[in-house]
Amino acid sequence: MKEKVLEIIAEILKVDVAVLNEDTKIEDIEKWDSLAHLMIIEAIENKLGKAIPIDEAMEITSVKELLEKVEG
Amino acid sequence: MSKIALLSNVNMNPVIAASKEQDFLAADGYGSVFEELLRPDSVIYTQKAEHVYLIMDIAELLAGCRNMDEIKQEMDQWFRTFQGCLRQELIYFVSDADCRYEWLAINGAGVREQDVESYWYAGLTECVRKHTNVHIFPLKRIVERLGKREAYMDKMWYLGRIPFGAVAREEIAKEIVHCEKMLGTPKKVLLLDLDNTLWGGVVGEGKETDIKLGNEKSGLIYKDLQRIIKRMKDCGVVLGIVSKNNPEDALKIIKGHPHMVLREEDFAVLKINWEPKDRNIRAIAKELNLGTDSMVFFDDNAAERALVQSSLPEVIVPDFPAQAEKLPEVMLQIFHDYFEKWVYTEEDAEKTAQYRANARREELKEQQTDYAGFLKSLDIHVRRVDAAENKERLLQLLNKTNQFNLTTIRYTMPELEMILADRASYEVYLFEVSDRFGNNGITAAVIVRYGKKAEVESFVMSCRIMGRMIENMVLDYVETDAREKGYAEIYGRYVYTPKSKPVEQFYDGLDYVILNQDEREKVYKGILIERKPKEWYGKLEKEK
Repeated sequence: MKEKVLEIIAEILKVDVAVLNEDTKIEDIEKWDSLAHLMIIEAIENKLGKAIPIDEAMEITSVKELLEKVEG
Repeated sequence: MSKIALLSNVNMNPVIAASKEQDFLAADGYGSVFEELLRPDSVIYTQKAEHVYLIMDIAELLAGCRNMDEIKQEMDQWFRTFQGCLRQELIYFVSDADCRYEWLAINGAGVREQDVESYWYAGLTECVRKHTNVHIFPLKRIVERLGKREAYMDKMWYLGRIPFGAVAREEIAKEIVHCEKMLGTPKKVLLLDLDNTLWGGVVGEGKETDIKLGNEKSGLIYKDLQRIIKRMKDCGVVLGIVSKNNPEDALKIIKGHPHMVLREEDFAVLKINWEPKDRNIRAIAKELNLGTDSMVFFDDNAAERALVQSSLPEVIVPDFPAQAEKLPEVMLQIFHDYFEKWVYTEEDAEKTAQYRANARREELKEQQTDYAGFLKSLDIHVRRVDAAENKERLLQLLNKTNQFNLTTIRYTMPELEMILADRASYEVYLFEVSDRFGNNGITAAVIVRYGKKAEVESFVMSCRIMGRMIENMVLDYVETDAREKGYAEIYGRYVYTPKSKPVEQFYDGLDYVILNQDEREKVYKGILIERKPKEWYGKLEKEK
């Protein structure tokens, strides 16, 4: 699951998946702006069938938190 | 690639992000599209956008309206403001409407989604009629194809004011690319093969009853296909046949088969022979006086498609479906992709007959060695018609004519209406042309500004009637009228454009003198006293 999430993020941000890991903070990646964030939430719901509640989606600040929401 | 801007009252940034083929100017945020259109420092003007797309979510626009009256008021207001924002140098695409909220229909006032959508559509078509630089962006069709459930995504709407789901956003981006392509070269002619295209099976190889065309099974597929093509013809698409058959066999079916929807007279030109198809298409271009870049070629035979595509890369050659039952759908798509226009005049419906007559005139010309004799034998009649009564056609003629257009000035309907109303300073001459092969319709127009000087502001003529010295008749008429108004001289201009090269020397050939010229234009003067007679053949009917 973790790999799939990282792949989705990499695809949307158009970055190499190797630059991403659990400790990546959203603020550290320039391309991860609010629009990209929405696209990631959407793709996770479409491709992995995991619907993250709206208010929680906006509180996520790192890959780790995102994974918790997906797996939780 | 043109510079384009996308504006919306909802968040369309993901569409811009998803678009691989087209770059967009970065307009900030979303909300009031009018703010962006009105601010002089908007990117539209600072970065000189050429095309502006307005994709409106009407559910959002109307969220506060409680009944149809309020809805109508809101939409009327929208179109009034929009028209106030228009700039002549820009081209606009405005979306038609799809009601995203089905709950708009929950009300005590009997408001139906369809009513809301049609009211918007009516406003939009009126706007398109008035302004030739406004086009419709077919948003509703995208939603209908996907279905609302697939097209919209509530999650994204509440998260970020993004109404459309990923698939719909991609479709919207594709449609924009398509609109951009269509602006470049509008298509006019649909060329069709016969065997296994207009009917199933091969004619001439067995009995006539062997071909598939009728009300049952696969016969109905071809009949439906023909019904669609017939409707396309009624919208102004010019049809032609390019088919390898024995002409007698094929014509027997076309004329006599009880289930043929398309008959001989529906086609402007029929090339049923064993010549290579690319050669036939070149001949058709010549006979119809239209460029091969205005043609779409539809044929079931992959080898023929490949030949035409390689020999004439500018011809559109759509894929042919592997399964016959897809034919109607594919043809409908061809119509949407290449021919659909949103406003057409009665002239368009008459087009086939006119092009058909043109092809016959070309045949006659080949028989006649003496050109003057040929023109005389045509029995040309030019009749002046009332410009105000035919203003839609006049506008179309002025804005669509590229070749025989001396100044290439484009007009909006309000501008034209002002000219028509200002009888003290303008005279608009509009002419209908016919000959023994039929009516060519309203095909020539001249606008003269009468002030201290008489100046020809615009002079356009449809390419359908070029090469018959009709322009000399028209100019003669205008000169006579100017003389009767008391002018001793008349001034004309030729403004250079790549497409109007053929008429660059128009005034030179008619004893006008050049007053000055630069790389942009040439200014001419003609003397109206003791004019030399011009060469033309036919009859000029003076009455309006």
